[in-house]
Amino acid sequence: MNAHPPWLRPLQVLAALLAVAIVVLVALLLRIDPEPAFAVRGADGPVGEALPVAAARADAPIGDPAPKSAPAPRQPELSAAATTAVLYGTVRSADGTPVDTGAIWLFREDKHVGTASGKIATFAFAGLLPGRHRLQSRIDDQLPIDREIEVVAPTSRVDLELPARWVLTVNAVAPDGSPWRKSKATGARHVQRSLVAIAFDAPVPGDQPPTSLSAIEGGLGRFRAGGHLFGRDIKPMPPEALGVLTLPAGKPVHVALFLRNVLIAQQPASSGQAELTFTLPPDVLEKKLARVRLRVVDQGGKPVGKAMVAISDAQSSSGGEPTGDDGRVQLENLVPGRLDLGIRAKELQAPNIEFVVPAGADLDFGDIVVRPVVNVEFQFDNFGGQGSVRANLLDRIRPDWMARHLHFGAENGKSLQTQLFPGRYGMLASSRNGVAMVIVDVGATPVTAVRFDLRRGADLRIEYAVGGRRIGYEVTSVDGVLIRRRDVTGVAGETVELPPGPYILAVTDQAGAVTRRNFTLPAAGLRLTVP
Amino acid sequence: MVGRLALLCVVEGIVVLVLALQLCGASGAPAQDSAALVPPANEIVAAQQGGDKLLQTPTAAGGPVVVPARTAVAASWQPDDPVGVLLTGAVQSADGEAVDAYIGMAQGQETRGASAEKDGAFAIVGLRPGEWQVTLRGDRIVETKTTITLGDEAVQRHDFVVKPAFPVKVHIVTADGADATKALRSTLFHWGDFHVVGQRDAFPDRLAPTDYGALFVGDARWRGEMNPADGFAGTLFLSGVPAHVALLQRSLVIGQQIVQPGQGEVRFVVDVAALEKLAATATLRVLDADTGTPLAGAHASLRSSNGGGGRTPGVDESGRVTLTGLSPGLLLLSIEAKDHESVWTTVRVEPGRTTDLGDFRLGAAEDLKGTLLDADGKPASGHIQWTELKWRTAPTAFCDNRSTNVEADGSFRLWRTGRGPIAVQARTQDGRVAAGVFDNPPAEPVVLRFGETGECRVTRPADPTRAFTVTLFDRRHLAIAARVLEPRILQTTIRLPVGDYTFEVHDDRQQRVQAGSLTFGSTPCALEIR
Repeated sequence: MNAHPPWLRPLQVLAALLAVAIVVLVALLLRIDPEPAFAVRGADGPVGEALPVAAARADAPIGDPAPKSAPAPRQPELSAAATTAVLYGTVRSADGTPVDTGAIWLFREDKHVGTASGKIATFAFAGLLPGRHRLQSRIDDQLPIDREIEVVAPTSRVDLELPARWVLTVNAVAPDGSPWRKSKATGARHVQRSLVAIAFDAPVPGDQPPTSLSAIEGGLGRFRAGGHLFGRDIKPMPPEALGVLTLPAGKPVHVALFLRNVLIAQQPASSGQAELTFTLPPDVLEKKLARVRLRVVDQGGKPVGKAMVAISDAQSSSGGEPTGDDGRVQLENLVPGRLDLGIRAKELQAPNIEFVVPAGADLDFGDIVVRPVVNVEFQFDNFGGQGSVRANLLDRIRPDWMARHLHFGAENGKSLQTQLFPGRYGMLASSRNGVAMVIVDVGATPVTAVRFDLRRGADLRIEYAVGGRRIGYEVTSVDGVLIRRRDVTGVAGETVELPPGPYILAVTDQAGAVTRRNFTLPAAGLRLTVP
Repeated sequence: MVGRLALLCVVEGIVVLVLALQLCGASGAPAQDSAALVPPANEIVAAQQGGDKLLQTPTAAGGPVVVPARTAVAASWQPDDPVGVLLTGAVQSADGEAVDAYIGMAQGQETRGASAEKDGAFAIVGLRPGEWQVTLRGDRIVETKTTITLGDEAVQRHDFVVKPAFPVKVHIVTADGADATKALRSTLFHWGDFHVVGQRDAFPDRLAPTDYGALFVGDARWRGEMNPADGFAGTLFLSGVPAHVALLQRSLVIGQQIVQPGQGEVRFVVDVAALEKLAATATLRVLDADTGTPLAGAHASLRSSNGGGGRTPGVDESGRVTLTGLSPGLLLLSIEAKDHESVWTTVRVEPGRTTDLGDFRLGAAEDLKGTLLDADGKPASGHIQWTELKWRTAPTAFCDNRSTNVEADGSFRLWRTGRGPIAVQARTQDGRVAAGVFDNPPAEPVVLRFGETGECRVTRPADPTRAFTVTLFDRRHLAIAARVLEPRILQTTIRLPVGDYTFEVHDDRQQRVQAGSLTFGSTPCALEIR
């Protein structure tokens, strides 16, 4: 039998005492600093690239159940004492200079909870629930930020530094060197609003998908058109400047000029380059403009003279042109894109539709039948003072025409009277008190009164991460009720409450190809990733 | 065995040492300003004041390092920190309910403000220690003014308690019970909607005219329905009861009643046909200034300064145009004809009467061009407005509905102007002003230059029956600025380049009530209208 070494017992006691000391010290440390608060840095990738978090979401298969949002009223009323928090801080550019004007938005669980605008070198948001928030910015000639911030009570401070950027002035001149915007060419007068410069990291293969926006956005960084910012003290640009691109520092780009979604020209630009000039011959834009001809007739086929015919995009409208006594009209110099048709002649109206006008097209729509309008009254008394009704004509007028998505707000009274083209409409009512989807035959009776039986629905979360590309998506019910129709770029998402049930998602890619897939919205909600 | 135990003791001893050091750091180190802990090239979220803190700093390896927490003490404000003093707090009514209010703070020329959130919480940054005048406004509260003193702490809290306003639902109907607002819109569609006001004392039968779509008098807040139905026109929030509630159509007092404590509704019965008889008519003639012949194709409109008006089908063969159904009071007259100068001026039309505005002789359009420079002579940017003095035949405010842009080289062009003196002003958002009166066509290049700007603080007596127009003149006694003080505006500040000016004050009946001279200098001057 071996004897124990003399140091064994003392070492065993020492080890035990040290172990006890470790436990005691850890307990004391936890008592002083039990739950440390920290900020989760959002990914700082330049705009136009898919952020890692969003990319992970994009890989998730369709059908991920999403947690259902709390029913409205969404949050209990809280006193403004220690249970709420204040987030405050500063904004500065990468070179350390203060920022003058812009806007900062704060979101919590995808819900907008605050806006700071105007002079935002400093900002403060009060009445916040502690927890994770998302902070986004839009400041002229600066790259936007999109950060996650952990807010703790009573106050949290964040000093934001905007990403490093370089500013590229994009000029457009005529062949003689004079500013293009002052050109007397037909193109100059009609296209100024829709001509923009977009930057990409590679040459653009061609046109973007048709859009109803006046001017597209996307690509890398942000474009600010020339012209004057009314009431602002930002120095105006020289007349030859089409606008200014604010781009992520340190990388070359390819700058493309788009007339709405139609590619006009493109050139490379080196990192840090101050100016880039496009020389535009007078006819390069004129050749892209389109013409539409049509004849307005009544239900009996009789031409309708002095009807006002307007073709517009979603962000601008024109007074239109009158038809002649023969009901005919020709609209010239239309900027291509997805446009809507409006025809009014006293109490007669055309259907609310959209169609695609290709670049340089000469379209003859033939006869467009106008019918007496029907008075419709939407009842909003159960909407809780807010919400809306979106409606679309279900009757197919022509195969290549789409119904316009009409919007009626519920904020201004307990009812709203409007006039619609007769036909079957799909309607989606949304409010804090719930949702309802109905199909209404407008015109079945002289005055159509529509009241919605609102019920709590399920949240459909639509998310996309397409970087600098542009895609379009459309969500409809299986009956054709239009839920959303959007052209998007970048990384974002939206949540819409809908009745549970089957729906269809249609995605248009950059090349214009459309893919459709069915999905079912369960009562627990659903996260939908696009594409 | 002994060796392993010895090694274990050594490891445990190191762990104990590290933990002890951390414990000493967490309990003993003083708090520092969060700004001092922020590496300049990184973003850091500093945790709350007065509580536990944890800062994360990225290491060279990329992972976060937890900085030991410190005991928090109140940090002092830093003069060079843009945040300055952060003031937080809550606004509640006397009955403990959170209120929707706007908190405005002023210290000398500096102003700050924020809206309270739904729970009454607010936060304002950019303050500094010292006394601040605070004004709290909101639909459902009585306007409250108070003064608070901020100390040296970087984060401070102050709660405000305000008195709730008294809501009164206002119904406006016709004699047969129909909605009077709808009837007004269909009968007198060039008029604006009814406006309801309230105050403790009775309103006079006659109020000072306005060029705006509504006259703001009293101390109550009116929230009209955008789409009135069944006679419910909106809600009036009174500062106290009993109170007088008056129904106005701009400055016309249609009726008033007394609201007693506990009364939640008030009802006005309106005779729209009688109102129609109060509509004004104006007639004028438009001629070519060179030939004296009627200007075919000219159009004229008379409307309030915030819109709402009518456009005529054009002048007749004699150049005459008559505008009917006008809202009595001050209206903005504009006349346009192709290739001719335009007319912009304020005129007065009387209820139930026809006013002959006379002949307007329009010459060829000659746009006045000029350059805007800063004090160093370099091209400047700003907001340019102008008034052609030949159309200003009465002491009225300068029309500020037109403006023009300044190009990158500082050049600007005033569109559709004609011959004669033109008062031009340029303003920036930081308060600089450049002004001058220039002849068109100019004998020399037109240059507006920013220099030192002076202020004049103008005050007037509280009298709802009177409005005052202050006109300032340059050395040639040409009007260079004009400001109207309607009943609700008891004080205003006029900014002009430093220098000497003469002034005249007229009331709304165009009677001159005061005149004199003012020096705009480095210290503000004052003008008290008596």
